[in-house]
Amino acid sequence: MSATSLLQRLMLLAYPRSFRDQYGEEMLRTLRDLRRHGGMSRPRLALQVARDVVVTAPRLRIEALLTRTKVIAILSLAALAATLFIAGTSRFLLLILVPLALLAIVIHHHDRPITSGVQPAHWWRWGASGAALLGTLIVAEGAGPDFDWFPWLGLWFLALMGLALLAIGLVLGVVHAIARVRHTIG
Amino acid sequence: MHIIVALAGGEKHGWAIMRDVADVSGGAVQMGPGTLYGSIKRMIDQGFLEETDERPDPALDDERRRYYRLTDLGRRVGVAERDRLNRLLSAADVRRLALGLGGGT
Repeated sequence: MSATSLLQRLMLLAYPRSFRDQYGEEMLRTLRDLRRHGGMSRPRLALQVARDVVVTAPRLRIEALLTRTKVIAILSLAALAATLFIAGTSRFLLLILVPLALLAIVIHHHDRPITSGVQPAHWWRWGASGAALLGTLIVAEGAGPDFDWFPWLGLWFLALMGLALLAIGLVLGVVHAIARVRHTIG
Repeated sequence: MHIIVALAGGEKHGWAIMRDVADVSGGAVQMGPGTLYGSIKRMIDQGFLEETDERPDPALDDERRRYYRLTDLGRRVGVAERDRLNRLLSAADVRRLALGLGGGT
């Protein structure tokens, strides 16, 4: 392997692994083309590529981190576990819940990017999430005295969150319905 | 938008897109590989582009190259952006935006 090829492969390490796996070879091929047919001197090409890496690699790394469902799921789980621990939940419950949730995250191979944003067509997901959250709270509240360990402030927060999700679902549903009607008419 | 314009005429591989962008912009836009493939990745995630197995001329090309083309959504986005830019240019023409002709306040 020549020194140039080695440098180019080292450059790729600046990018997140998923990106390297997907586009690494293509990037090297494009660099080769740029070297052979780009009409640039070596120092100028090296400078341009270095600037490109400095500008794009950090952004792609942050994107890769923030747009992964798995990272968000693990962070949420850690926050939930910490909350339960501070609230004094029985260790038994933590010992069952946390490994089960971690197992679910690990088994779920398809780490999908969250790039679609808020789409009106997904209104039912928001509504269903809110309904599920409120339903869980109502069922848990009726389950008996075991529920008393949960801090009331947290309970209110979850209830409001459930209502907010329902409201978002409703608004998106209306937007979606209007868009469909306009599409049909247009 | 540069990538959308580059792909408006049909599928291209990364190097061809890079050259086209440089040509169309008169050399003002020189994309590096990170910028190019970062943009391609985002545009694929957003549904503007897709990878294709078709080759314009398989005999002349390296089959390991990956080709990209516009999706319907990408084409619609390109047309909408073109219209927006056209309106802006028309407004600039109407108001005679040019060096030395402005009646700036």
